Amino acid sequence: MRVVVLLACLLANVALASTPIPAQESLQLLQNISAAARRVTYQGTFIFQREGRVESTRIYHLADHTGEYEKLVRLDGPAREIIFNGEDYQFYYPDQKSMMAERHDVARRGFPALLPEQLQTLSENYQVEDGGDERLAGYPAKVYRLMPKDGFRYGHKLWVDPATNLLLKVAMVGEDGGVIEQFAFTYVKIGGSLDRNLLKPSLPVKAPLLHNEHPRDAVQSGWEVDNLPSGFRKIAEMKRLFRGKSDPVTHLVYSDGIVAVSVFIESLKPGARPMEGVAKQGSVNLYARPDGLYQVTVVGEVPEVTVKQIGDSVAYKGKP
Amino acid sequence: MTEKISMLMDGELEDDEALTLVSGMKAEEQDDWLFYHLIGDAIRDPVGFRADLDLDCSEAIHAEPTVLAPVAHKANLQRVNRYAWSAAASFAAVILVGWVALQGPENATVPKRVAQIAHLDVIKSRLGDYLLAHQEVSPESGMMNSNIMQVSDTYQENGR
Repeated sequence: MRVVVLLACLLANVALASTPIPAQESLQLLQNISAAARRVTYQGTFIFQREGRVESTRIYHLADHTGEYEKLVRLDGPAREIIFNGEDYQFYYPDQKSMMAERHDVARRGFPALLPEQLQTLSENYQVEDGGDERLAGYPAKVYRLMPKDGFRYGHKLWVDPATNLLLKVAMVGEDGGVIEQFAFTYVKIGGSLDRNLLKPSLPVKAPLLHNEHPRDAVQSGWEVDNLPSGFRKIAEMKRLFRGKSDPVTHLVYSDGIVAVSVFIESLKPGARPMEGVAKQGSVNLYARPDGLYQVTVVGEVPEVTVKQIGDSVAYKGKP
Repeated sequence: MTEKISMLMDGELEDDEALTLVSGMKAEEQDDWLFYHLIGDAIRDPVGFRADLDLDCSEAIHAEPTVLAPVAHKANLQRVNRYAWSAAASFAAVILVGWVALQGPENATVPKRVAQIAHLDVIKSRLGDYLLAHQEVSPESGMMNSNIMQVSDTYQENGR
């Protein structure tokens, strides 16, 4: 009997074993997945799960020769609608005493939205593996694993519709193999037509749109990260204004090809006590520390060790 | 006036200018402004943040000398309304300032849970802008665009 169980375990292991995918092929694969989220028309309901919370969202996504349009409707808790009209995001709050809308300059990206310069570093940091087939939301999905090559980043597991490359589910996986957070369609209709009326706000909005903008300018700030964890490269550097702060904040962005880490540096007001310590929300870790007259804050979808190493080695290398 | 309020929302006014503007608002305008502000906070609220941050409570007090009245409960909007119009403070920070004014920041007899909630509120109010700015540049946050929805989650759900 024991032998049979052992044999069964052995066989199960063999069946679960993942096949590595060559770097070039995996890059193409991720590019296709990224593009599909924009180019495919679909509608459905997906859940987001993080730290014991589960929330449902309905999504309508239309892609045609005129562009790309989307409406997200939150199904749990206070009503929220987010509409992407091809240019910017508009937030609607149908449950409030009066209708409100806000415009946001949130970068438009499907998952995993990879910038060309980021893609080159991907294979240095992750091994992409074929994880076999699984049924998901009624579709026969292909499973792929992005296995991190060190402890500075999390793993990812993707479930993809092989016909369109649309992402059906994605999970971030910690070092212990546990799921940190995940998105998954519970129902999705891929392709076909989509009534444009579904992309409008459910209630008319009387109030003007508030434009909620974060002004930013590209700069060479002189700030550097001395001890960057392996595989991370700087992809952007800017100064931006935060609400309620008169001085601009320096914002450095680093990426390993999949995730990004932001470093914010700002001068401390005389007499102000700086922030110091770590905070965590699902995959997001934040680390703050004072550096002389400056406040350094590091945020990213990476383990604590990564934000700490980056934050502790931020130094000014510019003109004195 | 609406334009000024909009500038205030966008952080384009200096603190003293903002205070002057807000002090001069009519009741109706204050209501509007509070409402805008609540929405902004709701969008920025990083729900469920677990934190171990040494936070600057005293700074919040210094920044908000006019906001010293205690606020019993966050959900009590009517009551908050009277105090929540301070220019620099977010909704959450106002609550904390009220709480700190009552308890004193160093008061060791404050029940830990209460302290943690207030602590979290300030963290959220201060970290929200960093998180939003990070989301703009993070591919991961853009997955299916749903983290935007997460950011737009409400303050109502976090431990109160």
